[in-house]
Amino acid sequence: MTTEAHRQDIDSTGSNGTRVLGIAALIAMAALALFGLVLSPADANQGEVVRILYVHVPSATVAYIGCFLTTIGSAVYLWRRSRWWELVAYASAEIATVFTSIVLVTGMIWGRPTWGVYWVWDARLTSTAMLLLLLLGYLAVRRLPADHEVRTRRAAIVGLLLVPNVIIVRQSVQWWRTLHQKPTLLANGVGAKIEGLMLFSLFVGFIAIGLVFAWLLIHRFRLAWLEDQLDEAGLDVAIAERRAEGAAS
Amino acid sequence: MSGNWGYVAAAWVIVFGSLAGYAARTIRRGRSISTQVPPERRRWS
Amino acid sequence: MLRDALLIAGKDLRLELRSRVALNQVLPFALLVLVLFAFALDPDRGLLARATPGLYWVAVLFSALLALQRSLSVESADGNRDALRLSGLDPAGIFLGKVLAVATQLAVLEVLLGVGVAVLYTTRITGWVLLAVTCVVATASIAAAGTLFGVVAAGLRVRETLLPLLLLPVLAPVLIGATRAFEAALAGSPSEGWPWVGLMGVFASLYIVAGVFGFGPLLEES
Repeated sequence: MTTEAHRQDIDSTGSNGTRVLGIAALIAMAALALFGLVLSPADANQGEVVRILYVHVPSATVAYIGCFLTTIGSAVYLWRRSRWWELVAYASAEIATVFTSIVLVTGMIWGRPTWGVYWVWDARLTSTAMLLLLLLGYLAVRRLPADHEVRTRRAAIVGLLLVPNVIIVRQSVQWWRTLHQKPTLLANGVGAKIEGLMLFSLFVGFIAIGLVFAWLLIHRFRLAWLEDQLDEAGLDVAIAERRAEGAAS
Repeated sequence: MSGNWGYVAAAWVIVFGSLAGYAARTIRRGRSISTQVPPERRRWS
Repeated sequence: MLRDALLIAGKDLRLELRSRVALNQVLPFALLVLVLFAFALDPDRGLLARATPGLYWVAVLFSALLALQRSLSVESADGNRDALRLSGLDPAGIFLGKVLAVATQLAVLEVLLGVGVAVLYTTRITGWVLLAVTCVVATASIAAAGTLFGVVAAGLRVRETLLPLLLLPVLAPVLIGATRAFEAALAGSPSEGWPWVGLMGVFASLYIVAGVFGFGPLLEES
């Protein structure tokens, strides 16, 4: 039985540390559901819809953190040739993509009852959508069917420019919108003052989503590291595996 | 107001669902790929 | 570095003068886009007149994609990339040269497209200074970002599809800025356009700097 458990231990991206982290993340997510959906009151203006923000706002924050990690990782890789940082950049870009999609979808769901439409050409929405496209561009380069060195080097250039691009896009979109209308739509939404249990629920949201982000990042990093090792060892091993599988079935 | 619970439920299901799905996919791929890499090349565990 | 840049730019422009790919294919394509917009947006309802600055820059962007593909396929054929690397030219110079060549072609294209817009869409052109400066800055932005991402996508089987995906989101601020600046110029209130020119100036500088430093690592791989 012990050998069985041991084997499981080796053949995965998990470790004792991530297991503890994972359990903590699960507990925090359960607490978030409890506070966000049950204990916290409905908002005076927004009603029940405010509960979407407990997952929406923290997701946006970790998405931005992921983007910064991508740019930092790409910069360190280009500067020091650090494989480790390159993998951090790749792993956090993929996770940032997941969270950016979540932000967009939950934001649209929040917008429907609040504004009456799923989408408005608001500065924040538009720049988040552009951020998703920029991330998809990075991932497309990183996953190119090309030589390892080619892939990582080119992706690092794209990743390095990710945050500057986001800043410029945000600035331009903000000017673009404010020329036509003041961004009043969000003023009675996120900006409204929150306190008591609602604030605490949002706080739980930050912790829970943050833990999930950390857990995902470690696992995704290890997966990327394994892929890297496999790349390095050449395709022969993988081909041999496939052959063995084919022969067995 | 009761109608808005639908939006809340949809958003939360999407968040929990996509995170769980992504986590499961990452773990599954990690399991399948780590059998192909010799244990001494994995620095954790 | 500047000498190398001029050398490369001269080479690319001579190549274009002899092959006339941009003149015979990209320019007709750009004019075709103008005509297609007129088909899509009924010219009689005033939609076309109001959307002219935006349509103009969308046409420029799409044509720029073609011009960039051309500029980079010239280098990827017959191992020219290796030849460039062995030539001993400064990578920053190569980058600036390619940018210069693409920008020159785009500038010619923009002038002709402007004539096309004035004739086909009967636009009354005012605010010459702002229009000209906008064109210069926007062209520099498109050429710099395009050349940098073009090299990222170069030499790959998927480059035709990858370049637009990489480049168009990045160029969104340039499209917004150039369109607003044109609108301001055509509406006779150029003061509203200058902040956009500044934003595009920042963009262009960022990409020129990124290209000057990033081109070396991109060239030496593979």
